[in-house]
Amino acid sequence: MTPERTIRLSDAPPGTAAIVAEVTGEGPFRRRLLDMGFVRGACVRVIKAAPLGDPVEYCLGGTHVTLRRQEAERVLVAASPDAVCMPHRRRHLLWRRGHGGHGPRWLRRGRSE
Amino acid sequence: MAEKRTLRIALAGNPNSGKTSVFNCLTGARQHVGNWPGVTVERKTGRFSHRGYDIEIVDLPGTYSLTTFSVEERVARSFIVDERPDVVVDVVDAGNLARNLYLTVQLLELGAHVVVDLNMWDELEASGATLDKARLATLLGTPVVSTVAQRCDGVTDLMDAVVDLVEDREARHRHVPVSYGGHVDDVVAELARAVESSGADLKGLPARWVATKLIEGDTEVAALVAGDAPGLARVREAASRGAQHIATATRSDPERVISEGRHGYVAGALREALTEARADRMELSRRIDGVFTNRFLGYPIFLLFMWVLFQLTFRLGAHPMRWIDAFINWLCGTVCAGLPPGLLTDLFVSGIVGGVGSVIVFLPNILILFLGVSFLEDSGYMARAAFLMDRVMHALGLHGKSFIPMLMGFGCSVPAIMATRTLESRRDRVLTVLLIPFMSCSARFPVYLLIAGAFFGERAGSVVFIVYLSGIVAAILLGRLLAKTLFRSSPEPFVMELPPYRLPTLKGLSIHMWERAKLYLQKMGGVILVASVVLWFLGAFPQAARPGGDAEAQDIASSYVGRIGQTIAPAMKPLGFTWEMSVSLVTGFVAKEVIVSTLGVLYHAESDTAGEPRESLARALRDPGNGITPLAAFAFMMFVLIYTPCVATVAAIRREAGNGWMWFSVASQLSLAWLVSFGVYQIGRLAGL
Repeated sequence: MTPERTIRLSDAPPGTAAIVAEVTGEGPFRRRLLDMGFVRGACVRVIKAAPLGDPVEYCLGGTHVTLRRQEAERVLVAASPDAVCMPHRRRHLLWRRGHGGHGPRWLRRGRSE
Repeated sequence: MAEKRTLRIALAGNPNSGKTSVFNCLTGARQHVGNWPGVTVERKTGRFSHRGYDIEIVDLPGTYSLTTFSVEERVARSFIVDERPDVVVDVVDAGNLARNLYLTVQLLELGAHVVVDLNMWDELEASGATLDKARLATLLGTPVVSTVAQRCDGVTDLMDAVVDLVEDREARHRHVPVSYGGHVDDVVAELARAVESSGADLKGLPARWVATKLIEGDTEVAALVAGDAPGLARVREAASRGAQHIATATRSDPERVISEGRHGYVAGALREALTEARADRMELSRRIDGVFTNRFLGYPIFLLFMWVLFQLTFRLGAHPMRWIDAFINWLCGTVCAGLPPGLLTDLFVSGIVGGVGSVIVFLPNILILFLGVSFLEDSGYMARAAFLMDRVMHALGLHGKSFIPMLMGFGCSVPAIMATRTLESRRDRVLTVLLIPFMSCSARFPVYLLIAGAFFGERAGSVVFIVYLSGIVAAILLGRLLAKTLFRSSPEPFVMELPPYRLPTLKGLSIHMWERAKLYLQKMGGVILVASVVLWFLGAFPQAARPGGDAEAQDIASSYVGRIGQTIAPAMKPLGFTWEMSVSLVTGFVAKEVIVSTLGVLYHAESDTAGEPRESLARALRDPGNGITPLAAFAFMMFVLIYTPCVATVAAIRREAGNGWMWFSVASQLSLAWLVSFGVYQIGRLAGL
């Protein structure tokens, strides 16, 4: 295993994908995250933060889950620009960039980076 | 024909896996809702028959895993371990196999006889994925069927599979041990042997599962091998050595290694049986969320939904409530008129009919609120609402989902407290239940209206606003205090799933609504009815000798309630309350709006003068001869805001949080109300108000 530079999941910006390296801490919280699939090698995509900045929505293995920032801080990830989380990635990127006729313009506001 | 055989099956699965839909398909409305013994986690059971079997089905709490960290997981696990159901039906969201099968693996490890139900199969097919069910069944060593429970498709096949498994257990159930990888497997196998030879009482649990759990550091399983016997000591030693070995070999901790092993096992099975989807089923949901959880639109839309829900529940609900009221009055008018005047008639009219009326009067609110809440839940919006509100509610030590019950508290505490069922963790639920009464319910409004109108004239609106605000502030302060003290243990992580948006089915909604109404009538209606009769009795006895004058006022003053009120009056003196006010507070326990009518009677308001009883009462209250200062009036409003809610609310608290918390709530609210009013009155006096 090569040592990778890891960051906290809470620091990963929306739209990026990252590979889980470790869930720090112990006890019920860590166990819950492990059970939900935040295990080494799992791919997480940051979808978006709630309007008040917290919690944050993530995509993990095809499902969308939310974590508070203080909780996401305990998940260490290797940010990888070319991580492929799931087969839908391309489609999703298209939508984010606002290509194609995905609904009226006002729907897309605030989405494009 | 053989006699009818009975089967007991348990329904397990992740939250949002459609477990409830499967349960509804199987049992229809023949459900029994109760609590698991000792905990207020909902326990649903139902009965039906299939192929000559009389089947009892128990719906386990939705969980992601089977650890001992949460009440729900403990409940689910101990049911499977201790009650040994004949079959465990594991409802799996076919669109999210990787995470859902993680629980399946744990059920299999536990030695349960599992039928895997791939629910929402239509979504898997629509996504373009293909799954080889037979292959998956072989890999897991257990039958696999598919259903679309929203339409009840495939449920008969599911039950066939259950019966087949029971009738032909050996042939269909192959034990496939989960592999955690070389090192770990060796350690587990060795430990399992030690467990087997130790003579420990495993309660029929597989030794391998016990060994795995020992390595994971599970406290409940560790208790199985606690003791002085040499065999047990050897097991404990082997367990810690094994855990150590795994930690050094994998440079990680055993808990994580085992968890990763299970995930890896599932991933391996899926690699063989599943071809990945081409389309993302979250695609549509993501677009909807582009609006619903949008930075700018999210809150306005949320507030609109909340406004609609509130208006429907309490505005629309007010009409049937009025009809019920009118019907009861009509019933009294026609039936009671024929009865001879006397005590029994009085008991019947005021005690029983009034009592029944006070029970069913909540029903319209409850029905509409739960129709709305289950719509929000089944559609998937509830999770988004929690996502939006969590930042705010977390500041109070609560979960985002607490918002809706709290908001409903402004209408009526009873349905609001019942709505806390949407919260998953017991900690959040109890905390929310304790805070809901601070949201000033609509029954308190007439009291404010009267008092503020009488004493504050022009400024009445602002004063009432301050009272409402005080309730919210009190809830925030108390919430923070409780979250830091009594509820510090295990704050649930906000790991919440945002399920795809779905259109709720009428059947699901109506079953849920009916269930709540039934629960209310059965479990709380009786308590409220009895309490109403008792309170009527206390208010009507002992009968006063009527020496003329205002007989009604005499009656109240000399009744038990009046006596209680007069007894506590000295304690209320420092708050500036008259004894009449104290008596009205006691009668207010029936329902807060009763305070107004009690005050009316005690202050001899001429209620018969052309429709304006309130004006005459307000004048009577203002009368300097009665000695109520505006300051005392404000303190009184604060007391009404904070003190123990009505008997129906107390019944609801008892139901949802248990006896202990009910007493806690009663005691803390009474003392807090006294302290706050005392503070307001005394500080106000010092300030020369």
